[in-house]
Amino acid sequence: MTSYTVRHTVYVAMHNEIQDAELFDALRLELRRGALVLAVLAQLRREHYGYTLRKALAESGLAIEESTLYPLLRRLETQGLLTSEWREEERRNKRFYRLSGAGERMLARLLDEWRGMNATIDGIVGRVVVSEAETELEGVR
Amino acid sequence: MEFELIERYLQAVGQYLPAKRREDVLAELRANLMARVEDSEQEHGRPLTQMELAEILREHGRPAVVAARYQAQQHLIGPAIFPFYWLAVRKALPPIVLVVAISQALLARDVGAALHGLPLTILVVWAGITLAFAAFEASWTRFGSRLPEWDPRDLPALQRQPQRQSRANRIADAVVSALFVAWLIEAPNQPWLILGPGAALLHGQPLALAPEWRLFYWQIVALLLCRLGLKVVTLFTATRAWHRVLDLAIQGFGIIVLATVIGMRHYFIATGPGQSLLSAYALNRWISLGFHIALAISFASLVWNLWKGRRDGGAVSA
Repeated sequence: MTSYTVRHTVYVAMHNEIQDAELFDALRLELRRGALVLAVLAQLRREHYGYTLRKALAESGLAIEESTLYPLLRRLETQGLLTSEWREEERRNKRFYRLSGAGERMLARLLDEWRGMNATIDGIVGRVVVSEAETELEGVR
Repeated sequence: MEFELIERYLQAVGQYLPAKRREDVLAELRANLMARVEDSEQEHGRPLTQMELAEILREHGRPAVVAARYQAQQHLIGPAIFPFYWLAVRKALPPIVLVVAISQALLARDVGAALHGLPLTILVVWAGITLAFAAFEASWTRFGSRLPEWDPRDLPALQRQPQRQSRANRIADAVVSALFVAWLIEAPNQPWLILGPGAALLHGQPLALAPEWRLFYWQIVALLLCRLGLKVVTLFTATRAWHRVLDLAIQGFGIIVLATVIGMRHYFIATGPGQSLLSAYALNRWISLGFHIALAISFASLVWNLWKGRRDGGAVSA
């Protein structure tokens, strides 16, 4: 094996690994996008301002960038799913958000959809696992 | 000023925000950033250094990106319109550019200037198409326009697979090329082969073939013979991949022949005084223009075939 072959193999392996990581990041982002809205709506059943909402979500295990969360709050408010008000707290004016009536109804519908999708995915994954186990068993026999 | 860096950051974000919402958005960002800073200071038990403050802002994001996320529309042409835009660019751009370039060459009577202006023409036509689609996208977003309904039954009928050039076609092509080369080799010895009985018409005309023909004649014949050789080779190769390569090489030789002929510059010379000089000049210009257009078309066709070959090759291997 020449040094060129070794270098080439290492390069291809590293390149594939980087591509895999990038693809995973892109797919994860796509998967998270919808879930993020759901999490924000659910969290805002209690009133929060931007920073405390971000902290609450992070403590629940859902870290979200500030530059994504704050514009998202504005968008959800424009869509009528949130209400907001400026109020003074700890000597500073802050904008507090809360789920609106329409937001609550939307959250309920979205949660139904979410649970249905979860059940479907679980069902598909479960069937695949069972069928793989059966194939393996056939092979042993 | 302790938090000057935050104010500078907010000022930068504000530059990218629409005036109507600027103050409101900046006030909210300021409150959130200050809350984060205070939280951090509580954690450290001391005021933050400028470095730590800068790190918070860096994490928060570039001012332009942060501001852009507050804007409703983030794209010029969205995913719903993009396939139509791309189709328009692919289908309409080449013929429009070709027509514009030929018109420019004819109007200005200057092929060189038209070729020089080609990148600008492509850019302008492409920008025009893009602007039209961007305007459609804007009205689509603002007025909630909808694409017209479509009916699957209106789809065009199935197209037959493009057939490969048949063996009979290839034989005919090689025979015609061989006859042409034979004609070219024999023509200097048998002048009647050039115009036949029409040769008599040339007698008395104040025009004659330019001496450049003597210089370039054997070069052209050699190139044509190479091209003929490749055509003969394609008759004895069976694989599609080889046919594709040989066809491209044949096309390449055709382009070299055209480029050689263009390099001659003069095809006819005046043998008489005055008016005949102008006639020869005009004739040479028009013949040169014809060869330039043929070269441009051949080159575009070669690039297209190369691209098609690469795409089909990729599709086969995928």
